[in-house]
Formats: sequence, structure tokens, C-alpha cells
Amino acid sequence: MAKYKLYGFCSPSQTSHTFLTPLFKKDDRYYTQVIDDKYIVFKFEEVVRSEIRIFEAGDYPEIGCGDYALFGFSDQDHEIYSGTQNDLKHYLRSKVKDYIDKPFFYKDVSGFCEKILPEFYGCESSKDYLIRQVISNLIPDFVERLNVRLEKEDGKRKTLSEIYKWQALLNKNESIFRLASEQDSLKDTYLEFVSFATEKHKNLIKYKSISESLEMADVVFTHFSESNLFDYTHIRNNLIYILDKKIIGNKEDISHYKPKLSKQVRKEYAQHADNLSAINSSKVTTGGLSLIIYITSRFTQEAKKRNVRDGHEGSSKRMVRRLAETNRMHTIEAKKK
Amino acid sequence: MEEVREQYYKKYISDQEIKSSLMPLVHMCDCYTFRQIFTTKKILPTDCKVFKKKLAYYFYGRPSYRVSDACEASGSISMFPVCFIIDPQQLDKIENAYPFDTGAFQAGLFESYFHKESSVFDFEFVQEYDFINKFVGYFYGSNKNYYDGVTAIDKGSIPTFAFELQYLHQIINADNFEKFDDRCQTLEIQTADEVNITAGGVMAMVLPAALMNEPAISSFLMDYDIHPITYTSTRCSPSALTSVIIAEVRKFYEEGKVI
Repeated sequence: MAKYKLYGFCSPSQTSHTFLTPLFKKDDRYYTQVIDDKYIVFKFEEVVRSEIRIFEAGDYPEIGCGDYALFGFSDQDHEIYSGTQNDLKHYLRSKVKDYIDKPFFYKDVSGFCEKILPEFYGCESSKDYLIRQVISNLIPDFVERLNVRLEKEDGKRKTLSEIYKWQALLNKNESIFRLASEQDSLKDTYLEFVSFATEKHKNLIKYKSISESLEMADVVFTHFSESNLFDYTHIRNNLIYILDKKIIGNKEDISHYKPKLSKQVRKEYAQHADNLSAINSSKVTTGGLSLIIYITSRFTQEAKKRNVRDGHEGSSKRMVRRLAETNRMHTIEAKKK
Repeated sequence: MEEVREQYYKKYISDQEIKSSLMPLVHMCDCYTFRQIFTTKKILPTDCKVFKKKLAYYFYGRPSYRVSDACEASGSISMFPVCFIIDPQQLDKIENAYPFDTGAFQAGLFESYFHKESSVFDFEFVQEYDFINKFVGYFYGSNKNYYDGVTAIDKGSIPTFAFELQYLHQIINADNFEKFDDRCQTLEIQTADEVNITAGGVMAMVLPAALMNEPAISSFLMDYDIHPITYTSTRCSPSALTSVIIAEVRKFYEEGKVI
């Protein structure tokens, strides 16, 4: 059986993280693999290698028809990861949450590594992903306008409620980071965003998940309105807990979606969060709830970017101050001379 | 010659009954040309060397992507295909229509099956959607069969002197189908008119998933209520895109009960 040597990877995409097309070489000719739905190579197809950038491949044994296909993936730092679907699957499962800001890329990665995030539960058609893509595009601007940010709270404050202490314990960290904005509550921030988004794209309001999320906002966010002292991970876990309960209660098909919280966390929530009225509310649908999880997770993702950016800005400002101080000292010394 | 065409080609088709609803029109281009269309918001006719006039090309119902063009390991997304799936009502005036890709005919792909005196004009349709619809009914029996390239007509039932219909039956059912790819079975529609893509007639678009990261593209699709059909531009062999695109458009048609 003919064997083909992996020559390298190429990609037409200019984005930093992308799947790569493996190029094989045999007798000075170039080939791509043609694969079946079980990721097995069933033929090699000759291609013309034009002037394209080739990323170097690791040292792989030659492969032939009937072997597992090889894949490549370039990450944010242009590091290349390669291997069979099974090899790459585990790496991508740990990264897939980073791609929620690019729903169509997420869809590609999610399908490949067989992991569905609660943020995308119920997304079936490309239109569902388009809704999230359009929403995602608006979030950086909205987060800036409303100053959506992650604020650190000290977990040792004596005034803290039991639930606050409990979530700090779950996070294994005495500090919590709350998702704050110019609005009074997370519910108001959410409603303000939906209003902002539907103003920009009037067609959005036609979609069921958007209108359902508006109808259920009161019920879903009530739990968080009692106090602003909720860690962002707790908010997400809490929403996922409701989603999982709803999915199971509705007997929805979960052959592709597994409950996302660990057994221990689920047990803790069952003890502490039994009073969540959202679980029993008929207003709460899994499609609408998944969208709420998506939007709040995107708030968090952008707020984290802002924190990092502002941190960098802070250090560069400090550096500018130090340079200015040094220059001032040099000027003073020069004058003395 | 027109009399021969009328009697032994067009008449057989015109006499048929309409069996199914009209299918959408498909305009194919690459991302490079798409950028121009997206900027002007119009699909514009361009100079056609064969017909020596400005024409825009559409396929009836099927996306048709040239496999030979795909067999290049492309280093740029600009080479990847984009297709517009358009409501036929957006295109009032048909300039010409043919039962195959005229570019493939001009390239000589069908010459071993056709008489050497055959001209592309021998296969010209009547410039009406009803005629196109009747041809699909006569030759394929249904939109689904047309989409799948499965003829419903028995070759023996084609009249003896209807050579053009016999040729068409032969190329569609040829054993070495791969030589022609799907261009031999995809009806081509030409128009001299421009089509405004913001007029509400674009039902869906097929495009590489990487383009969806461009906010202007996703906003355009959302604001004009266009259904996105995306494909991944990596991982598979370039020629596999043809079957991926055909399969994805099939799903869209099945949901919309087009086929």
C-alpha cells in the first residue's frame, strides 16, 4: 500500500487560531488526504502546490489509505498542534471555551472535539450561530459604553451572606470577582444589552431565543438581584445548573450534550440553591436560557480582556512616569554641571 | 436552423406539463469577486467572450463548482467559493438559458458525445422560467431528481430526431461522469440585468466559515435576513468542497421544501 509523508500544513485563513490543511508528499508530488466521517483516510488527492506558506510538521510516520487522518491546528500564539482527531480532541476540549466570541469557529472546533458548551446548547442551524455572532460583535462596544468590568471583592468581609461564603469556598479562593457595570444589577445590564442589540439589528427581535430570554429575565436574574456579591463563575454555574435541570426535566435529547457541572458542584447547588424558582418556571426555556448564558459569558470574556488591557495600560503608564522621572533627573544633573 | 431547433428540441419541451415549483437561482463566485459584490451590493454583468456581451451567470437550483479549479492547495481565502441562492423573481429578464454550463461546452468537455457540427446555440432554451421548469419535469421528473442528477426519462422514449435531447441524456448518464463533473447537468441562466443583493431576494449564501468573523458580513446576513450556509476551508481536500457545498444546500432546500 502506498504511503505518504506529511510534508507540512497550510492554511488559507489569516486568523491566529485555525485548523490547518495537512499536505503530504510522495515522489515529489503533493497530496491532501480525503477522509470519511470516522476520520479515516480513504484516498489521497493530488494538488498543485502554489506559492503558499507551509508550516513545518513534526516527524510523523508515513500514512496510507485506511490509516487515521492527521490534523493540524494553529493556536493564538501560532503554536502548531497536530495529530489524529483523538490526539487533538483533548487539547481542543480544553480550549473551546476561548472561542465563544467566534461562534462559527467554535462550531467547527466543537464538532471536531465533540464538546458542546452550555452557551451554545440548542444551536442547530447556522442561523442560531449567526444570532450569536452578531451579538458577539456588539459586546466589546457595549462593555466599553457601560463599563462592564470584573471587580474584586474581599471574601473576608464580615457582612457577607452565607451564599457568598459558600461560593467563595467553591471557588477555592477567598476573593470573588463580580460582574459589575453602570447598571444597578445584572438583569438591568442584560436588558440594556438586548435593547442595544435589537436597536442595531432589528431582525434580532424576531428570533425566539431572544424574545424568550426577555420574558424569563425577571425569573432567571431574581436570584442575583438580592445582592451584588456574586462571583462571575457562580453566576455561570448557577445558570448552567438551571439549564441542566431544565434539559433533564424536559427530557430533551442529551446524546450530544452532557450536564456541565461536576457531581460535587451539582450536589452543592442542590443543597443551597433549591429555592431557584427558575427551575420550575414555565417561562424559562432552554433556548432562551442558553442565550442568557452566552451573553453573560461574553460579558465576562470581554471584561477579562478589559482587565488585562487596563492592567497593561497601568504598567505602561508607570513606565512612562519612571522614564519622565529619569529624564527630569538627567536634566537637573545637566543643569548642575 | 432555428426551424430544426424549434421542431426537434424546443417543441418537445414546450409540450410538457409543469410538475414542480421553481427552484432558486444560484450565483457562484470566489471570495475575491464576492468582496466586489459585497461592496457594490450588486451582482453585475461582465464581458462574456463567448456570447460577446455583458452577462451575469446563474445556475438553476444547483451550486456548480469546477473541480479542476479546486485542485490547488490555496494559500488564500480569496480563492474559495461563495454562492448566492436567489429567489428567481429577482431576475425578471432571462437573456439566455441552457441545459448545461456553456463554459464546459466551449472548453470541449462534451465534444466526444456531440456531433462535430453541433453548436451551443442548438441547446438554447426559450427564455422563460416555465420552459426551464418543463425541461426539469421532462428530463428529471422532479426538482429532487434534478438536484441529484438522476434522469427520469428513458432514453428510448426520446424521439429519434431529437438528437440534442439524446446527447444530453448521454452526458448526464455517462460512465465517466467525473470528467464532466456536475456542469453537464446544471442548467445555466444568463442575464444582462444587475441584481441588487439588498432587495430582499437573496435567500441564503454559502461561504467559508472564516468569513463569518468579519462583522460586516454577519451584520449583512442578519439585517437582510439571509440564511448562512458555511463550510470549513481547511481539514478536507479542496475538491471535497463540491460535495460539501451540494450537501449543505440540499439541507437548506429540504427544510424549505424546494426538493
